[in-house]
Amino acid sequence: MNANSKLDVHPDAEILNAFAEQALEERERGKIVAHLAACSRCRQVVYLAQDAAAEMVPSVSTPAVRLEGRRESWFRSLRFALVPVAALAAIAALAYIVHVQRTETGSEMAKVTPQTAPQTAGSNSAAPTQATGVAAAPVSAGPGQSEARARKMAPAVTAWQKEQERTAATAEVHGIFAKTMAQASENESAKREETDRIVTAAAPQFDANPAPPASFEAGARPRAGGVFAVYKGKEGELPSGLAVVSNASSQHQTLAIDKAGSVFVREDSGGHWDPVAKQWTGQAVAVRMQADLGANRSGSAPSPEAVFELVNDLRQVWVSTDGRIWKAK
Amino acid sequence: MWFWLIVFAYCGGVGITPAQSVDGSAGESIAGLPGKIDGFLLEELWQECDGASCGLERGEFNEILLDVGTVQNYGLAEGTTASRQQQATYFRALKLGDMVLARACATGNERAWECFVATYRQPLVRAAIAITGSDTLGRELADQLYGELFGLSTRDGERRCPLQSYRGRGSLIGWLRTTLAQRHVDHFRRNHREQPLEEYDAPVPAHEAQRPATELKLLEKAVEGALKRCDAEERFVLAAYYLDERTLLQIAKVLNIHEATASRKLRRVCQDLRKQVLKNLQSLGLSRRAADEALGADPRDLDLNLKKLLQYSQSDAFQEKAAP
Repeated sequence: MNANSKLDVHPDAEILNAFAEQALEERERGKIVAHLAACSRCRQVVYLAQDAAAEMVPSVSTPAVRLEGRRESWFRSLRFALVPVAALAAIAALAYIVHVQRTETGSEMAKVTPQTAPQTAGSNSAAPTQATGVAAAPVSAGPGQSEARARKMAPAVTAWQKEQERTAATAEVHGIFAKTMAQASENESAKREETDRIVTAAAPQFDANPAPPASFEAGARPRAGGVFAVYKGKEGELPSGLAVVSNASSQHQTLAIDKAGSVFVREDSGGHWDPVAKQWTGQAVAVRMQADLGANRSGSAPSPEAVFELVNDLRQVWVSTDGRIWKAK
Repeated sequence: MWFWLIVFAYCGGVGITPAQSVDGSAGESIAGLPGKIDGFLLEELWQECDGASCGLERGEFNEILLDVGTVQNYGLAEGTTASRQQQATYFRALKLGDMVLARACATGNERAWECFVATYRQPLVRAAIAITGSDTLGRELADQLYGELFGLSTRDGERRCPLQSYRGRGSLIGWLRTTLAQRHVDHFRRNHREQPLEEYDAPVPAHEAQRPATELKLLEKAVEGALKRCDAEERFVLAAYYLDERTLLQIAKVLNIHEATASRKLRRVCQDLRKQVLKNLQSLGLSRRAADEALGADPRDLDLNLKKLLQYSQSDAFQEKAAP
């Protein structure tokens, strides 16, 4: 059978109409398209029938069966659109979950201190770090308890370290631009720090507090021996992303408390913030400096040792020399 | 009593008969008897298509469904016995109301004819006018078809009604429009030779070929080969756009795609064709540059009949029987 003889056989009106109304199966439709590609007569028929359908006002009453069919075809046409919509929804849900997890990791970071701080001579031999929610001071914890705590904290610390690595990697990716921006930001913050250093004897909200201890008088002399105390709510870049409510600086260290009450310590002005494990009760609301100048007065060379004080919301005070290990005062 | 009614209603709703087991494979495992339609299904379909409004009786309705179903074996391969589920699927895919009306008219049911005339007479005339583009010719065409539908023509002494060939795969009004279009096109093609000669374009003057004959032959072969590689839809788009001079909108409607999609499809087909022709030319021995240059040949120099090529290149021709 050659092509011409094939074309002598045309699809009947039933098939052509079903094709025009998209009522054929895919396989059958393909056959009709193949025929139409070759047969001008059937193409003409389809065009004319479609033109007539377009010109006619829809006046033919439609039985209930047909309406059902239309509803079904409407659903069928949407059925394929539902797949990408569902995929998009799944992606959005996944992104939301990842975002929430990251936020949670960030808040955990603010509560956990890595085991980096040196121990003071008077402190207990136990690890100074402590999990969140442990109210007792580290000095009172026994070695066994400390080990248990350290084990508990291990995953959180690992997570925090991973987060730090990730942040470092991101900074690398950002490249020179990010470095430049960070440097500019640091310079600016250093300048701002310089101009914003306000020495106060106590926090404004602690005006009702009894007179500050005598050792805290160094706070009134901001430039004495390079030791100064700062108490001023200031916006800063902390790992928690929250605003700074209180900070204090010595020559080598800076302590800061964010809005959530998490305490962070920074070794140098350009270094990064390390979270400090909670070793006090309640919520830390203020941090300040007291200069222990007594020991230095006797010496010939003035080398004041900075002592940090941390005040909680119950106005109880903890002291620390390195900002990492705190003792109740 | 009420309990059993609820059970029957439930079984009908989930697609099983009371005789079937209530396992998941009920629809597949229990096949209907050959040549018979499930009683519950018949009842459901009767209620759905409202055959009584066309003057049909229940017995006639059953016969029509049985006839339609057995002729096409419920859309299944020959020798396969259709289950109730398959029967139901088959009938529900049809325009059952239209089909029952058409069959009732074909058998000469007067109330069905009244219903048909009330519903389709005016749309039929309007469709014919739209197809012919002339009020007179349109009415003439519609009357002619109407007479045929009414069964004025006979074959071997038997009254013959084209509605008998309607099987409910599309709407009845669509079928009527397509039948009108077929009649009109066939009439036009029969009388094609009676067109005045002025309507034809003057023959193209003999154009002196600027390129060597061998290169043109290669180009012809390359084009032919490229067209043969096109699939059915691509060939349809090419034929509709370049041979029939249809708009992209019309082509898009036929293929049930958006006009922009039709445009992209056409552009892509043309690009692919060009690439394929170049490739063919290179495989026939021309260099890339020579192949590029060959594509700049004047089409009038080529001895190509695109219409013929598109016909020859069809791979899977339609095999169904012609309309009666």
